[in-house]
Amino acid sequence: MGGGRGGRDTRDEPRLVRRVQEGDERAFGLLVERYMEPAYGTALALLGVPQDAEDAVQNAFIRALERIDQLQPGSPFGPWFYRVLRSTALNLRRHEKLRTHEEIPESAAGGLTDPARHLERELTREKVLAALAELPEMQRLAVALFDLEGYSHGEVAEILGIAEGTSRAHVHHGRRALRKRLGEAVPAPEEAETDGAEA
Amino acid sequence: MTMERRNRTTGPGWTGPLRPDELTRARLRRAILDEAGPLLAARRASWWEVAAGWASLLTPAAAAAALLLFGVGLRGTGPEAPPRIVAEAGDMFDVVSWVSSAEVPAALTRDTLADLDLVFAAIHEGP
Repeated sequence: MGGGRGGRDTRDEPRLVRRVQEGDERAFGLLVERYMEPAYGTALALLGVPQDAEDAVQNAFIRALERIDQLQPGSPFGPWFYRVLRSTALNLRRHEKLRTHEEIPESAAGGLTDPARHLERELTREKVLAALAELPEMQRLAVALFDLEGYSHGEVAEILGIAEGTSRAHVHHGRRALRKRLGEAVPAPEEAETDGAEA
Repeated sequence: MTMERRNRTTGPGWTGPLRPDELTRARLRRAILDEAGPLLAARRASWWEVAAGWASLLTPAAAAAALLLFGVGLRGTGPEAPPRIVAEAGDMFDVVSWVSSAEVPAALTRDTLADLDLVFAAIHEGP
């Protein structure tokens, strides 16, 4: 595993991980910068509530930091981190009372952006989250990891602990279901048949 | 496993609304780094402790090793055995030439000089 994940170069990650193990804040900051955004999207796809997604991502990074010595030397950080994120998100959902959309005032960002644009974005997000909520959990995760993060089927399979063929099936069915709800914004399921398919 | 990647930063259109906005990103980043700060500091401290532990373990060993090396070094550079005096035939003839012919026993002629001891004995016995 070397070249890059999700369109980025990850060859420096074993070195970054080693530095984080020594307590280097800058190295940890780089990993956070690299994974925070797609991790948030994946957590949001899984949990459906923005504030819960934030909590899950924050907890996952802290858990990852606490356990980073368990990461095999030279192993890529991403798939391991997504396993931590997944289990953190599921624990959060299982053991804590998660918020509902009504309980949470929408992101404070609303005050800083164009209200019309913000509202439109929120409506679209609601629609996407509602469509995702219809999918079985594994399909949701597989589609999010494949489309949002850009992982290959092999990598999705590694993260979720499933066979590569199962990942293909999940992404295929997940995309088909999302396409019914969201239309052309979702690529045709057939485009996900190959790992490197440009979405 | 193929390494050809799709572009994560754009992704399919439906993923756009799942990405955090600028403020959420900033808030999340700060929250993570704030919580991680003490953990990272503890890691740095533990690394120093480990390093200090090793240093304290190694210091006596290093001192012992240094002493050992010093000892070995001393033995290597200690006083050498006195060099053996080796006289060559030419030197012997020189010695003989210093001694007057009167002092040289008749038995010691240039042709019969074979033993340096005999030469020195002859010198000492002379006057």
